[in-house]
Amino acid sequence: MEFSDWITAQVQAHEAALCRYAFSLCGNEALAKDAVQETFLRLCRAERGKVEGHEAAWLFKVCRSRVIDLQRKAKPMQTLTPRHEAVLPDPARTPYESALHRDAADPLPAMMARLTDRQREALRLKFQEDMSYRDIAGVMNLTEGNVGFILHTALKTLGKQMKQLEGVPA
Amino acid sequence: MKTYNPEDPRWTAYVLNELEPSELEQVEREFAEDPDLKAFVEELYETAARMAAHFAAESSVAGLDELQRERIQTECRVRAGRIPRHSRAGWMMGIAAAATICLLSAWFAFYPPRRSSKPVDDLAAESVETESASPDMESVVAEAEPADIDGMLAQMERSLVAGEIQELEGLLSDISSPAEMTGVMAGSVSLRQAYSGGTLRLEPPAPPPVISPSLDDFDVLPPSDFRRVADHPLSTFSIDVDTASYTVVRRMLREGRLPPPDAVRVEEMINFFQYDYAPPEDGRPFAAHLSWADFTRSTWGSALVRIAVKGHEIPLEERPGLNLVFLIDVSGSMNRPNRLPLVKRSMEALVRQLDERDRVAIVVYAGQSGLALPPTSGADPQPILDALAKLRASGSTAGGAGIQLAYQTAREHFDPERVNRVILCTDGDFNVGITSRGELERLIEEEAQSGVFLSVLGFGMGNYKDSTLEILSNKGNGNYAYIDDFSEARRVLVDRMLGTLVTIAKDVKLQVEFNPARVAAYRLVGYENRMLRKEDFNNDKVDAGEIGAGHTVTALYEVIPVGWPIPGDAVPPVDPLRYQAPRVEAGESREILNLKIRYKEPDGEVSKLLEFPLDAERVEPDADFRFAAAVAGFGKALRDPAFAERVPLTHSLELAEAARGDDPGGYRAELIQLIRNAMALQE
Repeated sequence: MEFSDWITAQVQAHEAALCRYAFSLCGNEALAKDAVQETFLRLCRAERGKVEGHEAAWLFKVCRSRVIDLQRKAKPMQTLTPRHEAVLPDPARTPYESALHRDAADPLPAMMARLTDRQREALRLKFQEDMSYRDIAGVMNLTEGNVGFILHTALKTLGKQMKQLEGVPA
Repeated sequence: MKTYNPEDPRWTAYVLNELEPSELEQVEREFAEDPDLKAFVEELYETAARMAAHFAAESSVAGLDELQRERIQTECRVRAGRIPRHSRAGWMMGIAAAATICLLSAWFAFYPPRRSSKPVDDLAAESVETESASPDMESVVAEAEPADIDGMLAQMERSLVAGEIQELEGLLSDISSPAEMTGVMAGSVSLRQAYSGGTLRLEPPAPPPVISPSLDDFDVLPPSDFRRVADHPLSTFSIDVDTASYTVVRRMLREGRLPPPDAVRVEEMINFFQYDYAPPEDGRPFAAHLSWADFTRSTWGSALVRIAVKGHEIPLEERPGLNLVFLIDVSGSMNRPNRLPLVKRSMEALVRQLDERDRVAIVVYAGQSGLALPPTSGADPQPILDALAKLRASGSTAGGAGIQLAYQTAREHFDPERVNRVILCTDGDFNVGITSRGELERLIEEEAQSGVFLSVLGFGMGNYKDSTLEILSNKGNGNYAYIDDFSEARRVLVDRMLGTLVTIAKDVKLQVEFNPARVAAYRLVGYENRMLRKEDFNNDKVDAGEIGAGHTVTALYEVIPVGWPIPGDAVPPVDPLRYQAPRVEAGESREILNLKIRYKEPDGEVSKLLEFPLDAERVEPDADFRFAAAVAGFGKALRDPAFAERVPLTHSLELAEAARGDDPGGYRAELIQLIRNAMALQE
């Protein structure tokens, strides 16, 4: 596969998932998109041989560090003036609003909100991106054992809460 | 009795298929000893399934902007070596430096910069518009290597980008359209491209090519738009008898979740239900009945045309023999009550209907694939039932190898007098061997050439595997059902066994020609991923759907008769042609439309053509018609919020309630409950 085809294929395959992941980390759509763009720019500059075969894990790892980096840089930013905000109206519900909206019907988001950031992130990588423990460990800078423990605790906690909610004695 | 430690992460690792084979055995031994542990792990499965469903249903987030994608492509072209980084000789630098100045002036003449003394970073912080550009700049600054030519180009690029950013404050007055904006970016980007092989071309920045398909060449338009008959008299699509989407939607609504729009394939929802259409009488494989009715009162704002196709019915005693290969996924992910155990019960129900005419082989696949039962006569079901009972789930999933072995088995025992069919039972989670969807598709497409048909039965999967299985069944001359409980297994494999297993026609394509004298605009309901180009209709190489014995297939068109107002979301009209006479007037014909159906015999390679004109006047729709319209309205509302505003769910509910009829099996009553669930979930 030509280099440019490879890059294009990666963008097609992972752009949406990376944007979603980045957004889940920072809650800021624009920052998430910037982080994803930078991630792909880095992919263009990376040695293909070192990335090929485990592109998803590589991209998520880089994306994660890009988000953290951009968040640090973004701190001193001033809030937008109303004039600029008016430039880009977005009538659609933000993902955050939709999540809140769903809360009314589905208790799961509220339960997940009580988990730690790390648990939520590991759950997302496992259940949304279908990553193995090894890949999650690579992305989050943890050992595989850590990942196993984090996921186990998270599932156990959620299971218990669901049971309580359904009125079954735990 | 031993008590387990609930803190042990191995339990979750087991559920998530992360254990080594040695650990797996140990864990399974512990399960056998401790029923409490088994219950505990069952709970973990339940939670894991909820997690998967939760994330699958999450709404999507905005993707990259065009500018950002363009930037990545440019970087990609640079790295791909079209513009080498370090190979420029010194003399070139002089030329390039001179040329860049020219280019720069050309650029600024084109887009004069607005002066601003603010540092770039402040501007980036101030302007929403610049957010996408700021990382762009950072990367360029970080890269700049003034010692080589490329570095100079990078610097140039930076200054241009900076120029743009200075422009952004007054941007809105200068740049009138997003396309123009893209042109600006593309301009800066083309600096690197313009310098190639030592020659520089001084051209104003060209906007990126806009790919706008000519309406005449691409029959596949967004089906959500009404099409004008004057410009698009033909509508072509492939038949679809699958019902999986309805079962998936049903499952989600029963669990109290709204299905994601892409999971809703309206035609599969409509075709889930049985309608009382007359079978063919003239020896043809199917009959088609056309009618149209006014649905304006029911707020659809249009008339509906119904195409009702009924496949030839075969009495059970006259059915052909079946040469079946069960291809059963026994990977670890199938180790759930509603997966492998349900597969076994479903296939048992099928086996009990077989007799001496039939043969069954069983291929299993997990990390490795193997023949669990060689072809065995259906006269005595016991050996087949025993083989099914022995199946256990564990390990990873090499779907590709299993598919190859199953087709090989079917081919080796191919019998032209019988129906040769592979029945794939899986949760769609292929994770070893051939896993890319493209490769699997090609494999199945090749195997389908051998005359072996495919049925895909999906069990307990999350939604995103649904599309993989649907595509596999399409490529494999097959059908696709989603089995979420034993009743659905019974419906597909017992009640409608012959429809599922005996194909009476393949590559069935429909082409409808509307009469412009009667119909102004139309829109097909559903079939979004079954649309064909008009040329494909007569091209026997183009694959299409299959129809089974006794199947009913319903297609609905929303139709605006001539003289009615055309809705606002119609495709805009095309100007009359200058060099060709306008299309011949339809004259006196009172026909509404002409339906052509092409199909091949199950073992044929050359298609046959049937034609059915609709020349009747509008009728009062019968109960089946109204019920199909109710299902259509429900499905469309789940897919498209704009439609839901026009035709609210309450309306589809009333329509369905009034059209329930006898309702054998209670499926229509069930739909009414699902619509109520959806209403409760929406606000």
